[in-house]
Amino acid sequence: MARDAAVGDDHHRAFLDATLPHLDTLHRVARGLTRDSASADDLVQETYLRAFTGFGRYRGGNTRAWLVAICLNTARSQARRATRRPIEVFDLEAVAEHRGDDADVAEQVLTALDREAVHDALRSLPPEQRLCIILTDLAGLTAAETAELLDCPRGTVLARVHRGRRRLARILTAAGANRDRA
Amino acid sequence: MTGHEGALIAFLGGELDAAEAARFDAHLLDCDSCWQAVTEDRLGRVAVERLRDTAPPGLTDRIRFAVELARPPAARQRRALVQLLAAVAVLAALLLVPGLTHRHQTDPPTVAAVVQLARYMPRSTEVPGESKPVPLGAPLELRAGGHRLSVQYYRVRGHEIVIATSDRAFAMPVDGRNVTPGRGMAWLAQRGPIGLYCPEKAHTVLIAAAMPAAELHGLDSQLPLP
Repeated sequence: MARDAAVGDDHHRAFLDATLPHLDTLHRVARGLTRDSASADDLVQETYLRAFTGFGRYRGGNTRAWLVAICLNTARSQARRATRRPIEVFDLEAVAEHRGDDADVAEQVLTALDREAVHDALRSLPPEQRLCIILTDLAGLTAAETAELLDCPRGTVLARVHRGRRRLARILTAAGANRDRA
Repeated sequence: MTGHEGALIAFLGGELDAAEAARFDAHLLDCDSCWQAVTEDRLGRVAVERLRDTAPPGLTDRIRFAVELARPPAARQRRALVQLLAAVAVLAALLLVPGLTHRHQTDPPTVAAVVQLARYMPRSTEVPGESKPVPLGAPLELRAGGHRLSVQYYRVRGHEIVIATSDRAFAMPVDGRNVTPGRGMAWLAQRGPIGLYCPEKAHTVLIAAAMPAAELHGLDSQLPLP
């Protein structure tokens, strides 16, 4: 029994040694998928618990991608259970007037960035673009890793990321212009 | 996808060879729409990259505790062995061997969580003459049995104590006892070396320490209860 307990300790320690280094990445993904920091922390905890449950079957490889996949699945499960809340949608026709057509405008927008405004803008993107941007620009996964996670071609990921970034830029530029006029 | 957009996405994604990339670079100098697309792409990318935070302090500890609580308890293995014996032998073993089931499977999840947290107290050095409770480490937030727990460790008169606050009242374990028998909600329980005390005035608070529960109750007036 003491031997069983020792094996259990090794398993527990091995799990934490393998997975805690990826906590920052997971937290970024979770923050992109949820509405606030507390929900992100809950999602991260649930992800780790599910990963711990499945660690015995895990055969090694890209641990970061494995954890991110669990996080995405957990978020989907939670979203299906949660009551749907309306998501504020930016009017892109109005946004199109504020074309950031030179570097100065872009720098002004970046300088004045409000973190919550960026999170809000991210949440307003079409789901497939939002998810690709969360995984690549926020969490730092490569396009190839993202393509494998989402089971789609790498070129599709690149296209979604590009279009999502442009849409985000227009939203933020318009938000900055609106704030300046207020 | 337009012809330009396809080449642009390939350019930004590093898919073009050196010659193609150089040609597209030159194209950008003459094409306003592609230049704007590159600018917007950069703005969107940098805006999101600036959200790259490190995980908040305390989240690592929260994960460690959550995983620890998820471990199958050693007592389950002992129970599996005991269940192979005759029923009378099982009862005799429980009566004659105190602490055999030091982890009670019938404890509510939040109570079980606090017992586990008390087994992993941060060690501190007693400071002579220290009269006020001293917080040890940052507060922890975690979930147990679907309920949210806020946990803070303290040093009180040389003893390390954990104070847990839940979003629900802590239910008294089956072997717990009311502080004032027949009256009130305050209760005490013992889990091996860990004493548990749930104060009358704050049923959503549970205090645990490595001492007899009655001694813990005696420290009531000195504890920084929320």
